[in-house]
Amino acid sequence: MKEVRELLNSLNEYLKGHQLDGEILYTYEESNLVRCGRNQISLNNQQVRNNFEISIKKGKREIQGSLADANHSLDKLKEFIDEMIQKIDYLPETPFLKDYTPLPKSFKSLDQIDLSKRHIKSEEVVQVLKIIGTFFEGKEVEQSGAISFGKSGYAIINTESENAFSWQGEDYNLEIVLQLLNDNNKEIRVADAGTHFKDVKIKELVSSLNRDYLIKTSSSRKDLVPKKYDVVFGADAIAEMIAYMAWVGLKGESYLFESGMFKKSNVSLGDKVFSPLLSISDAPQLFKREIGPNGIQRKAMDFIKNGSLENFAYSNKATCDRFDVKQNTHFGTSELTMESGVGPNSFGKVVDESIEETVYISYLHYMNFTNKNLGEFTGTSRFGTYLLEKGELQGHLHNIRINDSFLRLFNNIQWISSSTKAVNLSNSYGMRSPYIIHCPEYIRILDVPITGSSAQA
Amino acid sequence: MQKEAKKIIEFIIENGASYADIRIFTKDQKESIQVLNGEVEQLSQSLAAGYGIRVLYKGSWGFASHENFDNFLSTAKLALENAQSSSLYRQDEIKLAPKKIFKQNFNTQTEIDPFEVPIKEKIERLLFLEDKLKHSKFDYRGASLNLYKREIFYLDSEGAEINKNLLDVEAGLWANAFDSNSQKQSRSYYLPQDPNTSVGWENILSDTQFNHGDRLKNELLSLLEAPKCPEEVCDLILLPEMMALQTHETIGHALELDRILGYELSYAGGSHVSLQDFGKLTFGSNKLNARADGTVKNSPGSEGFDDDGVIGKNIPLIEKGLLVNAITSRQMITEANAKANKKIFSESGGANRAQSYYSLPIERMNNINIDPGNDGNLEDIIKNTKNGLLVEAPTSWSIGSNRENFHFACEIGWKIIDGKISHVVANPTYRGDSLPFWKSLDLVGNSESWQLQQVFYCGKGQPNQAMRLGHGVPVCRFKNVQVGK
Ligand SMILES: [Zn+2]
Repeated sequence: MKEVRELLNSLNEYLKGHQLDGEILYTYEESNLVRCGRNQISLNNQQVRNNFEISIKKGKREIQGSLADANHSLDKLKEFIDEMIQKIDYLPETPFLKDYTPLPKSFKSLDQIDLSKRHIKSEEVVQVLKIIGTFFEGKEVEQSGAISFGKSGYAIINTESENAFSWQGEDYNLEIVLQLLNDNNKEIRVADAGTHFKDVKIKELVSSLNRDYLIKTSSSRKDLVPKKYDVVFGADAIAEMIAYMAWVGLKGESYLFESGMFKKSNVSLGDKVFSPLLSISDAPQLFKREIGPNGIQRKAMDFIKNGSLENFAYSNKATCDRFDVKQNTHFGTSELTMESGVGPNSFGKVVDESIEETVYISYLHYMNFTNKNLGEFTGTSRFGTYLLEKGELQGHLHNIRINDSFLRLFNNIQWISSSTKAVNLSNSYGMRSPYIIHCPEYIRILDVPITGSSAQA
Repeated sequence: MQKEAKKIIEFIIENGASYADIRIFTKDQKESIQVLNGEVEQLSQSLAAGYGIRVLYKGSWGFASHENFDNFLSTAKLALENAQSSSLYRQDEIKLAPKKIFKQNFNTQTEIDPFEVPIKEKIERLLFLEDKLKHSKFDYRGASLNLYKREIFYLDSEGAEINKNLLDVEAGLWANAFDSNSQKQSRSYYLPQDPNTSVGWENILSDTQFNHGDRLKNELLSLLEAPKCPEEVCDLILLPEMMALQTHETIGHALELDRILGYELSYAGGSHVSLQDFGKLTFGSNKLNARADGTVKNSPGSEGFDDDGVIGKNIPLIEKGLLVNAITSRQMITEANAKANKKIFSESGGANRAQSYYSLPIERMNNINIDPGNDGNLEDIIKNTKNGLLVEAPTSWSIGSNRENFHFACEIGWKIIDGKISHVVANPTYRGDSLPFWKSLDLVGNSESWQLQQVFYCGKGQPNQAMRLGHGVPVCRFKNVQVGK
């Protein structure tokens, strides 16, 4: 990344030479994905991409441009900047536009790529999928899933600063799904995420799948009458809910535009909004991105502390300028962490302690907001929906639909488990960028409205 | 570059591959303008170029892409290496169904190239349209414009050579405001296309196609005082944006053949449709006629040829309610026929599509359309409705993993009582199970009510691909639907 930082420094000087303000972000990925379906590899992909995102500001006018230039050619980038400069005068002024925030006085660019761990070839990844497939051979299952691995990084500079910052790292994430062909096509899933693919523990993946396989092939499937139930959610479901809640509740942009669950007209920092058991912070454990791709220093930050609102995340410059608020982080590279509690730390203990009728949901499929203002959402359970009672697993269930609000849900927490898990929530729409949420393995919530079941279809 | 591409394909075949293709994006250009409350919020332009190479080796796929054109050979080697490692875990050999070979060009028809229109003019037009949404009761209003231009060269080892010059225009208008219960209400409108005209700046200049600010403003004003959508079972009328979503989620995705076979299981999910259902399953009422039409003019779902090099086709999916075909590619029809042990599918439907040069093509919707019916226009349908709800503009969608059920929320609803619009209702929602819902389709609007909606961000696949497509849909009525819950 040193060469990229030097290139950015030169471009920065070029902008200054033209008496212009500007910010330049470079991003890259070398991303691989091996996908499996119907017990065979269905695709085996590598994509190498790079991009220079350039903002140029002249007084109260700003223009943005992005160029994918694999050769990192200084001349080509200058030419692209020249074209942007020519257009900027045609823009009307945006009166509230502010200067770029200088990068912090001191920082350390970071390379989180472990050179001692050799380059991964797609063949090794294929073998992992094959090992899992082989374990379940003869059991009439259809294996699907994907393993994604690769490197990504970024560098940033702006005309308020002298030297570019860069970060690069490697990460992997995987998910394996088995469909049980002899058992009504029921599904089970395991997922994992981390930094080095070599750390993947294949045995643990297999035994987790096997646990659910045994439950689903040895217990009967029950249907659930739609009404309110006490629900224990597993880590994958919790992470999904935290991510959605954060999206509609913790982003400063939605607070300012009053488009989300918390609005500046009715909620202030310090207000109690959730159960005192709930604390959520941005506390990077795996990917130490000291400065975000928006040029803002990322400090560990509490968002919810014992149920009270501590901070909103202000990432977007245009919105912050409009409302005269200072950017304070970069939300897209946050590593949200939900604090653990004192509840059961294994599935066995969850079952043991479920004396009253309890629904267990491991994963939520296709969540969406039904009313952002009220924090209302819906989604269906998938992969592992179980009925627990009298300290025993009573059977597994059809996928069920929840319609609830985060305001109600996170005010009805009974306990939070003491163990935690890192859950991958990165998608691969844009360029590779690891996004992981650390959350408790289990959480018990009272009176969750279950409104339907796929058995009725 | 085309010569070099040919050499690369030859190299791959010489090294043991049974098939290879290359897609070169010589230009992938985008320009975006967003205006917000009378000011330019963002003006951005982007430019990229790159290529992707797909290799079939011993019946398995490998793919690699790069943006550096000096790396042709190493990228080809990597694609081949990936295919070789894929072949280490394989059950059935991938075989591609035969196709007709074309050496052809495809160009989007346009009148005014929007990239040639001066920036200043574009901004002024957006500000003019956005200004119509101005009202003291509204807090934010905006207009957005995204222009896409792509120049693509496709070449494969079977001799197909296709050049595409594609232009897409995506645009929207919106406003929002707090209602009397301090809840945010919005109205938005997205540019549809017209198969009888062209794609270009002319769309943005057209009053009928895009100048809808006045209407949106009035609708938002009535939403601010509107009661909440009641919980009840009543007849439901879907306007084009909502019909497009309904068709998209519960016909389109459910009928992707790779999904039916199980290739999307771990991520997007499966389908309640099975191979045995084709020719047998009653998917909807006998008024339902749906098709995957890659030939509709001016849709982002029509690109002349798919990324298998198969020419765009018009394939009936559901005829008079009976399921007859799926959204298909060369690979999947061979596999499905082999699995079912009979010839269900006779040829690829030309629906293997990739988002960009860096993505491997998979089965995607092109234009999933519903044929217009004989039940008159929107007014006629309203007139024939005793107790109903008319809805438009999706705000939320959540669908069961096998596309067997759904829950949708909309921006606006109109309560219909005794054949007349009675009043506006806020936060309308409705839900249903897919097959019973389509079987309850009882009125299908005529061609006057039919509109070609554009979709720019349909997500599917891993790595994720956001696909552009279209839905040509009439206004439709469904009997006895659960709403407001
Ligand atoms: Zn979609």
